[in-house]
Amino acid sequence: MELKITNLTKQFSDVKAVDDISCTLGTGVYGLLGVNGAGKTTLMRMLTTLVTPTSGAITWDGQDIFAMEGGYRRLLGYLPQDFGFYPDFSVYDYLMYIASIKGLRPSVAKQRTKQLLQQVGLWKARGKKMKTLSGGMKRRAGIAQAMLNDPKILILDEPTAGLDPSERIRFRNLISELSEDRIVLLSTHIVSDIEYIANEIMLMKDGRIAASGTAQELIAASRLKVWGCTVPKDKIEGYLKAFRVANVKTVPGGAELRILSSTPPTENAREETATLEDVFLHYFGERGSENDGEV
Amino acid sequence: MVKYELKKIFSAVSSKIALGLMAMMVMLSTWMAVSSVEWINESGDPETGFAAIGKLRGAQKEWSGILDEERLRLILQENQRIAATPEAQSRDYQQNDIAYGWRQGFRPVLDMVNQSYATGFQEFDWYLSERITPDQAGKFYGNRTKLMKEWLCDETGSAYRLFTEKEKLYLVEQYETLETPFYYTYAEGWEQLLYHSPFVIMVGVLILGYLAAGIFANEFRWKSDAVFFSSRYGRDKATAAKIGAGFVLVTALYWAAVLIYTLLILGCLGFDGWNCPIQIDLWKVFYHLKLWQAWVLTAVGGYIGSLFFVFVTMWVSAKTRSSLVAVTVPFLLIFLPNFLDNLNIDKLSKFLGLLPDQLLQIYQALRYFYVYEIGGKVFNAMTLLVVVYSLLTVVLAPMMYRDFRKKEII
Repeated sequence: MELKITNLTKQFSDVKAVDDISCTLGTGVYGLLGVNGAGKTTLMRMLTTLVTPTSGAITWDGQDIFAMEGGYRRLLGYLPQDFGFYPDFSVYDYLMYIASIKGLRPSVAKQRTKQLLQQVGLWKARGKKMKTLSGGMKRRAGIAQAMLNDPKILILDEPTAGLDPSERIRFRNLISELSEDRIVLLSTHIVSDIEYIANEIMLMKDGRIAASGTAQELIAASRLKVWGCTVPKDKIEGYLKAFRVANVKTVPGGAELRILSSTPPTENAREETATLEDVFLHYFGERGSENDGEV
Repeated sequence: MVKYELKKIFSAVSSKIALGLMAMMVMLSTWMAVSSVEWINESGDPETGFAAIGKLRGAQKEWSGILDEERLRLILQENQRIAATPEAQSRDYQQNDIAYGWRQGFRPVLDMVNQSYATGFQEFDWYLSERITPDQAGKFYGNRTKLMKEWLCDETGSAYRLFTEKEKLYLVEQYETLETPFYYTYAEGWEQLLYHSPFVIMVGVLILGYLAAGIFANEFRWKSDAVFFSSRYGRDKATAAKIGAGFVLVTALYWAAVLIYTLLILGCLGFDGWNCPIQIDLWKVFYHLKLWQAWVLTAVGGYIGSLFFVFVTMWVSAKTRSSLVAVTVPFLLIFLPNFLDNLNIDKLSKFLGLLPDQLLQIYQALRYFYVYEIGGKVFNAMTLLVVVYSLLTVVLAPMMYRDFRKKEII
């Protein structure tokens, strides 16, 4: 069970959305982390055969996925970022329809629909029209449709977008539950979504994989130094311009800053342990100048 | 999958409204047909409704039978007798209407007489029948062919240039081989059925086009395309199911509407006259059709036309991803030929006779002398329309399939 991406590129007129990516995915949860516009969705759409690559190849156990056609798609479960549905269908009808286009026999489809609706907590709402569901319920219906065919490859594009914190935690746990014995590729720009459930995290920037590994490996490889310091109120703006600041907490007379810098930003700055969020900021954050600054 | 595609269409409130409109349109057509049948009573006043229909039917049944020279002579005699009455001679319209009422039993025959004995093929004199004497009855059918030949051979007329020699021969042969004498009886049911059919079929096509316009395009509008195309059958069976749903939609709704319309009109106005030739209603038509055959042709032609219109709509919907663009297609296909027709260009009108809107208004199209010489053989418009648009409809299905299944979702 191996999904292999080789020198994959997708170019839209003069923009390379995905630029020469190569990697191999085996069983496990993969987190694709990057800011909006990094190329995550385009990569996922190629993996789901919705978009054809400009160059490069994607193979499943050695076979080209585009040549496999339906044979590949039967292994696939996909929850798109912009999850659309049939607004006047009931939740149950929606899943039964998706089951039919996924090739499930009606008896299996009924059984699987019931099981998944119970698992995602929508069994009681099965008669409701899709358009009347809340954002969280829609996402749960989305994950249920993706799981209908018990996919070997589960691709979830920004599955927690727009959810409140409790829904996000619930969703994260659900994905973790469903990840057994399959490849799960989950894209997000929210670090906490994948920090604890991904076996491997890929940081994507400008269409390329900037770094990959476990959260610990990424933190270690980044050689980041993170500092905590308290600065007076009138100097906060200067520090924000000069450094990558991970956090600002207002305190009486000033603010406590969490700063990414190779050297201590102040004399009394104390070194702190780097987190995945700091790594994310290191790769994707903006700062006032390229070098560590002076205030 | 087809079932769910249909469910997608009919679960929307707007689709239910469209269906309601379709039902209303059938009812409205029936009402228009029934209320357009008039009986002029003994006082010269018009009556409508079922009682009036019954009276007209009774009066025309009295004159029903083979319309041979003898029967025509009797009709012309009676007509002259009525024309000589003080009521017919009077300058008072009410009195004239009383006289008109006496002619209702054979009024359709007098309409044919007005055309048969006219001075030219394109002439019509409403009062001509009053001047035709019983001894002229023998020329009734012969005049039809004679006037047609004169029309085709008149070097100053447009028909002379419009048709090739073979086309002219074909038209004359059609006239000469028409089975005469005609059978005449009350046939108001079939005539009204045919007369209102273009309205029913055209409005029906617009509604069907509206319903079908979203079959492909709504996947993009609802953003359900990504899940659809990434599923196992998204790019094959599920796409084919959409085409199947379009076919089932047209077939089921069209035939349901046509069947209800037919039963309502014939139920109200009567099935009588099914075996009369269409010429008792449309004297100059060159097609050899009984009224029931004309209705079968109208219904089948309308079905082929509807299927073609809806498939073109669906194809545009698959190509453009827009139901709004797609829904304008039936309007364009119906109204553009009408606009071009108003330009009154002879050569263009022959081309217009082959456009698909003709299939939706066969009752109108039957009146035209659209014949085409192709490879030395002459074909009438009806044959070409039915064959060409059946083939094009069949060709459109794989085109839709190919264009939709290859869509990329960026």
